[in-house]
Amino acid sequence: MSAHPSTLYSETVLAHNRAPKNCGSLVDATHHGVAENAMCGDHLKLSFRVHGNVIAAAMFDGDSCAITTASASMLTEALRGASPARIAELREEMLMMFRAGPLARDDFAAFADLCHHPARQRCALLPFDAAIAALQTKE
Amino acid sequence: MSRIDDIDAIRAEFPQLARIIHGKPLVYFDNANTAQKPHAVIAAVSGYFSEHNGNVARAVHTLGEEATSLYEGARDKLMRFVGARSREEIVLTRGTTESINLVAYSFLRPTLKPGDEILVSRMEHHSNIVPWQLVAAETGAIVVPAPITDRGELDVDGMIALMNSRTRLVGLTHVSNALGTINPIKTIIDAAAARAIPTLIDGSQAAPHFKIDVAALNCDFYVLTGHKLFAPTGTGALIAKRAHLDAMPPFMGGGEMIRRVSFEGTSFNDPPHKFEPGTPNIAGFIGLGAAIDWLDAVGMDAIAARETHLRDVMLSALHEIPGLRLIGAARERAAVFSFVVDGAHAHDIATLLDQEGVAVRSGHHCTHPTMQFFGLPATVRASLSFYNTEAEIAAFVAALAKVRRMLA
Repeated sequence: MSAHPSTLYSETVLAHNRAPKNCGSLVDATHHGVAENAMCGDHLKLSFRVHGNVIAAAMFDGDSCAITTASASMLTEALRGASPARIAELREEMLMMFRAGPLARDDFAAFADLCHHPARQRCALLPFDAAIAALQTKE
Repeated sequence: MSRIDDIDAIRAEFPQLARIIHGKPLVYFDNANTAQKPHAVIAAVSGYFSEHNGNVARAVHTLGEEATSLYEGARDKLMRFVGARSREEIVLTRGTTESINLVAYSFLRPTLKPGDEILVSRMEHHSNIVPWQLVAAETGAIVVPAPITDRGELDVDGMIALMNSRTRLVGLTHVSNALGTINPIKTIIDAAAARAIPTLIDGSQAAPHFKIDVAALNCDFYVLTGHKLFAPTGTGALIAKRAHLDAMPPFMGGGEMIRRVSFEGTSFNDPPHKFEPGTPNIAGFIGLGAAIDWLDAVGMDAIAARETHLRDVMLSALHEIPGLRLIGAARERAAVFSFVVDGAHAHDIATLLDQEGVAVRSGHHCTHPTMQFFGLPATVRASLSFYNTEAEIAAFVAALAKVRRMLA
């Protein structure tokens, strides 16, 4: 990329990585999904408990890089109380941000610099893909 | 005094090495991924396009003759560089991957039967696993992994013990791209030959670092890639025993690989042209010829000696870094180092090292089975070449310390 100094490892991202929210296994989960990053071999598992049309709880598990961990931490927070359709909306906002700069709200804005790191975009999207897989594979 | 002793002059021949990355001088430690190109190679490629551009082996005009002479000249240079017996044994390909696929589809598949075995080590690059799996799946043959040890060395006795009457080919990397291990390939080649089993050696990570002598090795197939050998991408070679190339059917059909075409039947050109259909990467191979000239002028023995020194300096430096675990501890190794760091993911380290100007690779290095053996999803890999310096090793160590503080 350019000579631009990276802001990817912002304090927001590093803080989520140091102390991720919703990390572990979810009891009484209704949905599980797994996504794999072919570039590095990282696996991420994401589980929900859905009541009605609301995600009551979401948790993730996996040994992944700081970007994936922070993204999973933010996503599981954002999904609590949201409808499952929110996952695709949030993913689309991330993709738009990669193309056009900061758009996503809340902590996700910390990933704006990924537009300068195309090789790492997949890391931030991995939790979204695990969540989408979870919607498709109900247990 | 060897030319390589004036390292500043050597480095000045590689324009990329003067790059500034994020305000820092580039420390290029990703040589196992692809190597930088000297001016001589860049000039040869540019010179082909600006002066000699013509097609090879068909145009009788001056430009065509020049292009053919330069392209075939690269084949002759490569023949001498690897110690092949004749130019007919050198098939020019797009790289190691194509070379191995050529052997899998043209040499092995026509006679592969259910229950036949293809024996490869557990430290192979995917390119020396997947082509065999594809032809095995079509024919009912199986790919058998040979064991490696916790040191990341080949279990030589274990591999030999797996050779049997069903083994149709033994594939082994000369130097592991993920671990840096230099394999005792001569022992394996001889053991396979004693059982009349053909051998394929993946020399991608060996040819850039020390002298190769395929005639002395006496393997059936030796494959390498040009872009790791300071030449352009899309160049490589299959070096094979002539008898095999004579017997093998063509891999791809088209122009240049034929003798006579009719709808009643087509006869094929002699090796190596039988395996080189269509217009090749002429400029790339002219660049490869220039790269070999350059390496010959500097001397592979001088290059190997310098890299051995850099390897030892790097190894000592890595051992001093707390929390760093080197993956593989082979007693015979190249200056390729895979490692993990406590509490830091390989990708994060690589992205942050880049911010300090240090280029390394992170990930699985196209060696999933090797990573699985060590129970890791990914490592950081620093791979050095002769043009690297002790000062760069110091810069790498300082950058890594900074990255670790950031991720802690």
